[in-house]
Amino acid sequence: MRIQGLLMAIPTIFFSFLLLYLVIWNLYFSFTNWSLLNPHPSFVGFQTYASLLYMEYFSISLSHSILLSVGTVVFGNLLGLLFASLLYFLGNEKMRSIYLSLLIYPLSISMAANSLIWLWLFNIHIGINWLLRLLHLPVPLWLSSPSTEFPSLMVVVIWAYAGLSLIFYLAAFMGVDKSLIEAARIDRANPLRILFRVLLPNSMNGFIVSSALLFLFSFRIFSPPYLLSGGPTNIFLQTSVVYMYYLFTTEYFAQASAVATIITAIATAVVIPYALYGIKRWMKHE
Amino acid sequence: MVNVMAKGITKIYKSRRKEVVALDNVNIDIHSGESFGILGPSGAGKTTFMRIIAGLDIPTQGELYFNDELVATSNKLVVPPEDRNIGMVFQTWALYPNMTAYDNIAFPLRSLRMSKDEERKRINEVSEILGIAHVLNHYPRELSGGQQQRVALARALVKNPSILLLDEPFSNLDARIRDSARALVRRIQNELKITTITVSHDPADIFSIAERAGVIVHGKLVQVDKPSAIYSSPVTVEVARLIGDLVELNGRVEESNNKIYAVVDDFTFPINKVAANNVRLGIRLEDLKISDEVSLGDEWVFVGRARVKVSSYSSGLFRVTVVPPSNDNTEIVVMVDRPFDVGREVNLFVKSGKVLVFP
Repeated sequence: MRIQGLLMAIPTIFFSFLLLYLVIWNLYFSFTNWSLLNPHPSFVGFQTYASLLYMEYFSISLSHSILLSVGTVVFGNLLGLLFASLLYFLGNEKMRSIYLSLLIYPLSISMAANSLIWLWLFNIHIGINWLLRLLHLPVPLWLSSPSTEFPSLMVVVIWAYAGLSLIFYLAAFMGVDKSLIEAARIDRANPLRILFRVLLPNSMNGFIVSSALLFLFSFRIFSPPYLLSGGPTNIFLQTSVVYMYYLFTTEYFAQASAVATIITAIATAVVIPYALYGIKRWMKHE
Repeated sequence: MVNVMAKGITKIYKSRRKEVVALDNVNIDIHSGESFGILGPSGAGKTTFMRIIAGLDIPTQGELYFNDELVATSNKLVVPPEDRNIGMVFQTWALYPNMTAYDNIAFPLRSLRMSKDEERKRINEVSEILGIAHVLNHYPRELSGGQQQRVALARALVKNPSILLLDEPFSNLDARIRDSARALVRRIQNELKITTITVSHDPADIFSIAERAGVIVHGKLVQVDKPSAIYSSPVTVEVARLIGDLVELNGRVEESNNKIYAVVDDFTFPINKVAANNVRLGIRLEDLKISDEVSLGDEWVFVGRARVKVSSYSSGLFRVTVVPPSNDNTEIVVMVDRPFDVGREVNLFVKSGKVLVFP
């Protein structure tokens, strides 16, 4: 039995070690001064990290990443919750699957394709603005103005990931004992009251897992900020991951490794305990 | 109070190619203030019937009336569940796990927009009656099964419902507290005179709570009567089996000395006149006796000599299985107050007039 268990764990152990090896390899280079100017790297301790702190780009891109993640967690959860409630109270089973497929469709499209689609939609002449102009509504400049550029990026990311949140909320709602809902109906509770007093308080697992994944996915996102900004150098849309890529392409290898290490550390610190807690709760619940 | 009348209620569940008839033309008139029991094996449609009364399911055909007001008809919900003023206790209690017992009981009142004082008064009143006043601040998971059930009952009663529905209300309780729970429900029903419908597969629930009962088998309502009347004269062998323990035998009808007997191997059971040649016999366990005596008085009729095959014990009585000497497979269970040695021959008696005969 023990041997069987050990055999089953071999793939997991192998890939865990591979991942760990890459992380440590990356960590090692973040402590060197390897760059185009220093082709023969030497160990410099925290000097590379210190140099990053003096770079304006680093703090700007990190604040973009954090803002994007927080925005996605907040609005992704709200949208997911809204859609999940609408689908839950939809009586028709067939319509529910149709709407569900439509709402989670963005998840199945590659992020690069998503970004290209939105690039056209944000075009000030033909996209959304064409429709707004027809309706005689004010037309924002979307990606063409520094003030609306970042909110436009958030719209794309939230649109793409709201479906993820929806799935977890809907799964959690479906897991709530049906007789609780029936009891609430018999007790004359309206759908809103059922949602906020019965469904939601008993769906905390859905909230935990959805928030953890939304944070993880939006914090490490690359394609939308890269494609919507037209390249890694647009300071208004640069996130930490894009900045890391920019440092790498310009052959600041040590600095790129240092940014990667910081991203990994933040993601690990925020997400792993959260996700583990959520999954554990969910499994205990079953 | 409300009387419930079902006219030709039929419920058909359609899946891809299959049609399942859950209820087949059920007609019933449950009187106002009556405690009515619905007995049936699991999957017979009794819970579907209760859900239709609650408005949680819609009948495929038929009409349902509360006090002559149509509440549901073929594929149409005329009055939705929230407007039927129903108190329901679910099989799993369905207590809201995120609320204290107090908030659980207050939940139906908050939909009524009642003042806080009035709410507190009514909750205190009902929890006093049900003996849960001291656990109102606890969450359901902190309560025992019996307390949870009483909280569920309090939640159903606090809004003064016109109908109380109990779905297998005791099946999740420990056997030792079931009887006190049954007594409590019966007492409250008696005091409040609410029309109460109890669904159960356990005849003990029906006997202890219901004034009248209906038996649903395979979606059909086959018998409606007092529980004791169903027990003593069930219409089919299934009904007999549902409402109590039964020894079942196949017998051949014979006539001698102007008396009719059903012969089972070496045993002869006195029965009333029947048209068939072969009959199915059902005998309640308390209507059989074994003894070393040759006669047990006029009330008991000698059936034949029997051999003790197994002797075991069950709740205060010895459970002895006897067989006729010529056939080891015709087993008859008898409850007696002392053990009998295996292999011994004894006399088997049956209470006169108590042999149930089914075609």
